[in-house]
Amino acid sequence: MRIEVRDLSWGVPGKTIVHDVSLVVEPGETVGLIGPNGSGKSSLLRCVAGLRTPTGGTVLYDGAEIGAWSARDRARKLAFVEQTADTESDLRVAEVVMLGRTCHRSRWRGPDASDHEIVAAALARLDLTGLADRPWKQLSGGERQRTHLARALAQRTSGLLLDEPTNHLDVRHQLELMELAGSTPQTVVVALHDLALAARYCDRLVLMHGGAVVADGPATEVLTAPLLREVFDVEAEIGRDGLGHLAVGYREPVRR
Amino acid sequence: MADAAVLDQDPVVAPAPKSLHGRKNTFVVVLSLVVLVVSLVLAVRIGVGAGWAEIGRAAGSRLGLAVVPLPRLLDSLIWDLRLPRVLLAALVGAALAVCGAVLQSVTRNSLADPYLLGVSSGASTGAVVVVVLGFAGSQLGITGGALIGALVSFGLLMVLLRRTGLDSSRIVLTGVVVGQLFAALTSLILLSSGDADSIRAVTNWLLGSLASARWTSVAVCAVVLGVGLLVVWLCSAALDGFAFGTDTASSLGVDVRATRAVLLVTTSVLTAVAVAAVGAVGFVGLIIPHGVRFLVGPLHRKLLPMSAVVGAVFLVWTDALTRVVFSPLEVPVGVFTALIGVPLFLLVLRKRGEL
Repeated sequence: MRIEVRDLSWGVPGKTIVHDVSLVVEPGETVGLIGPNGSGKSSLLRCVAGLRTPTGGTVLYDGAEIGAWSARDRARKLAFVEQTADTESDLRVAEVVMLGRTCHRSRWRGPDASDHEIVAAALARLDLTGLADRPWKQLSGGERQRTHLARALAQRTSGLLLDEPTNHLDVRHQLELMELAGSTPQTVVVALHDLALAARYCDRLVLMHGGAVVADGPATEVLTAPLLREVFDVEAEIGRDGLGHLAVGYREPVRR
Repeated sequence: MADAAVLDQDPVVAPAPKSLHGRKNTFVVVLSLVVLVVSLVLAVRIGVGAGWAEIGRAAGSRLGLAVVPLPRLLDSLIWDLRLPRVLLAALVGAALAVCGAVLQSVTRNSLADPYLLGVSSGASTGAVVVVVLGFAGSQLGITGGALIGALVSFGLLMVLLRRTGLDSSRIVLTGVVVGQLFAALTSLILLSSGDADSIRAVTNWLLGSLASARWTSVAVCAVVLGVGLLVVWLCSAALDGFAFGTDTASSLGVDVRATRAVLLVTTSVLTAVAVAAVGAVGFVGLIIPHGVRFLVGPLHRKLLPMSAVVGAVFLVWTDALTRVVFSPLEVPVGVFTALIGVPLFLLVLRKRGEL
């Protein structure tokens, strides 16, 4: 699917958090959303997912404004994984992943065989098959994160929004998750803190600062020392690591 | 790569995991229904000395079947007193347990119970007004007043909650505030114009008693419970989705606001009818859902109907016990639900490893 954001603003009374953002994500593209804490990444993702009503501007899925869409119609197009979605409930892994099938089911029916197949596939994809019957409370942070991602995959959408999905994950699972995000046919927008990870797996990076987009393009154009100094307030050195991947080294700025 | 290819890519896809507690579930459902029916019959028998045959004859003669009618007194005892009482206990127990399960999910608070929304306080204010004004002569007077009071307090709750987005902590806080307001009103009315008799009448009613059960309240409760249970059951998937909070629920395709509104209205009406019929029987709505989650898991598609059945069985037995243990004294059933409920609750918590 094609996601388009036109002149979008959003805020709480007295504070604008997302400021006049315009953005196009082409079908199949994986776009990394980067920026310091409080730069508006999560808020922008929530607006794109239709969870917040923009105070200005619009969001379009495949050219259609989503303003009047029902939650169900949105959920069939686009899945969203929050940064921290926790529960006190005793749900098991497979039951959480099954929540992803909610938008495809009539109220009158329970999960059918095809729902179970899709859930099993999503579990396998995230390396969770052995944990299917594990209660939520017994999961590690990383396992919870992967469960949410499996749930989003089970939603079988053409769009996927991920807010800091690599938090809590060990290195191997970080790489696997980003590999998945980069290779899936879905259109993906992923908010990330790890700039090198973003550069390696995303087709394009969007850099946010103070609620606005300050750069949008390939990693080599966005991750430049002057831009990183302006946005993150660090001195950065961009080079290549031993494997040939783009690497970013930082130090605190020199104050004069 | 097409979407379906994602599936094909995993050659060793494990067989779809069996729905959790799969076979055990069917067994539990059948067993609990059997227990419910047996409980109803046994509860009718207790203290009457009537068996299956007598109950059948009492019912049969009214259905116009060719059975030997019972002696007048026994017939009246079974048909006019015991049967409606037992059925009402079942209906109210079911309604309270279902409301508790729903509200625990909507507010994401495991301490939520049907009285969280202040509906019972509204009902007691209504009942007190009726008693003080002297219309309490007929039991229908208290019931009617309680129903009106409950609906008024619910109306106030909804007015206070409109345009708030029905945020879960807002619901809890507003419910508590409304409850406090009506509790204060009740005390004020009682202190200013109540005498000792009316205070005792109201206190007794508040603790809950099934002694005054009549067929009319059974009929009203049955209809409201039937409709209410269907409505909340159709929201099962949404109630599951609420587990991870508003944003995740909404991204799963749940219309959070509308669903919460429907659920609040339904549970309030259910609670109002239950409280009006028998008073504020405590503890059923709090513990039964927790116990049932332990049996069938947290998914509402199973949790709601099972809560209804277990809540019904629980209240039927509790009421039967109050009749027997303190006979001939009528102890409010609400006193007993807590006495029995607390140890049961602790047992469940311990089994779940939470204590």
